[in-house]
Amino acid sequence: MKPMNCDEIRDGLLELLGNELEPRKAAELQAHLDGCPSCARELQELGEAWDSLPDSIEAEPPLALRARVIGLAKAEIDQRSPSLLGVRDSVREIAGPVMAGAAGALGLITLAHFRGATAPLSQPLVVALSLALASGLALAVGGLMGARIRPPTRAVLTGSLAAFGGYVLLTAMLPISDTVHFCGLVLFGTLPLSLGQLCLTYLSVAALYAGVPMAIATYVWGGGGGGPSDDRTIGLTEGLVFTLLAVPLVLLQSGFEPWVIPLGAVIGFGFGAVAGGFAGRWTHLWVLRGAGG
Amino acid sequence: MLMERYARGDLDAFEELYRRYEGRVYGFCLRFLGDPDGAADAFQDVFLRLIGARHKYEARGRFAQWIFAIARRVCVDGVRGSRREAYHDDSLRATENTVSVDPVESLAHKDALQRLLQRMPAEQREVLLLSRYYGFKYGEIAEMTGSTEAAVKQKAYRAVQSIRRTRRDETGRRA
Repeated sequence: MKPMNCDEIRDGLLELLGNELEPRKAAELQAHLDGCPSCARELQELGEAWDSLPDSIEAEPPLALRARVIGLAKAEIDQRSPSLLGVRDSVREIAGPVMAGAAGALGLITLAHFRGATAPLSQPLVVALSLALASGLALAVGGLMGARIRPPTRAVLTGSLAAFGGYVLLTAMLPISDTVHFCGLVLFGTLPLSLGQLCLTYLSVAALYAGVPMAIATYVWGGGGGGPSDDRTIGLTEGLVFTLLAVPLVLLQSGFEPWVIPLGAVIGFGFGAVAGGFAGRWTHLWVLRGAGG
Repeated sequence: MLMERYARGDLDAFEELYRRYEGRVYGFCLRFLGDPDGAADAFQDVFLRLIGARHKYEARGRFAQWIFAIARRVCVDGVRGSRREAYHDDSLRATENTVSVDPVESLAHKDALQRLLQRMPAEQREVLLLSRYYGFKYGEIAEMTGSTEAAVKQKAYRAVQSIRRTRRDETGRRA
């Protein structure tokens, strides 16, 4: 066995102080210490320094913190109890954001109707089919999810689904170009739109149809996160998932429109989705902090 | 496992977790930061993160290692935050060359241990506290701090050396 040198001894001394030393290594150390007064003195002085520290540093936190922290835990459990997350509840949770998207869509279309646009409400069958499609998506994913999927994943799935449902609802009723015309008309009261107005229209549509339902879904499902990294992860993942879902529809419906329309839609909806995810997650954390007083 | 029971919505399990860890976590925050107000904020933040992670928690290692990894993260951020605040505070800026803004100082005049802790950098302080008072092995501390075992041992060695020097200085002054 190769004898330990003084440099190697240093690690051993610390392990000895921390009771981490294996018996074999302890024997090697002892053999070195027996023949090395310098290291023996080092051990003695380190041991004295170590032993001079108080035995415990436990301290009683302020009493008010106990009620506050336990109140936070209780609020979080009450808000989202896993035992309640059966299929029916999952569907209910998902249906909410989708219906919010649908309500937003109907509101915007109604507003467009009163400002002189062609009334899409005269196509009740298309509206009903779109609602059924959006709800069917929600039910399908909700049924698959049950209670076993972790909340950040739920937040991503339901947020993307909610945005997608709102988007499907709108675009199934109208081609993408008509959608932009309607929304542009609501915003600017005139057609055709300039390029700048078109960009603003896409961002507004994104905020309403992607961001709002996604923020609601993320808020509702955001109970499992822990900090800023989760905000970022959830927001960006939602944006990616939703954009991947929306791209084929945007491209299919854009037809022969100028290149700016599909590109604007993808950028706009992606932006809305990311912003929605962040908004929902931050709101959730803000409410959670507020619950603790 | 208490955390798993809590993850299923058992508030009693959380209360038991709180009871078991409140003194240890608060003691760590207090000794690391040296400031009772800062320690109370950090302590609350640790449990807030625990609550937020209810559904994400996976029992891969010891719970104690997990919660103290959170605690040291919160405290390290707290020290950085207090330094930033001090830098941006005009009243302190004028005297920053002569006045220490280390938050550990506020307990130091009362307490010998705090005097020792304030003389070492935060990274040595955390290693000393975690190994000496919470029984974590150097390898575990390396995992908790995202460092290597060799680096942790070196910090521990320097921390104990710092205590030895301080003791020597104080003995010399008394003599």
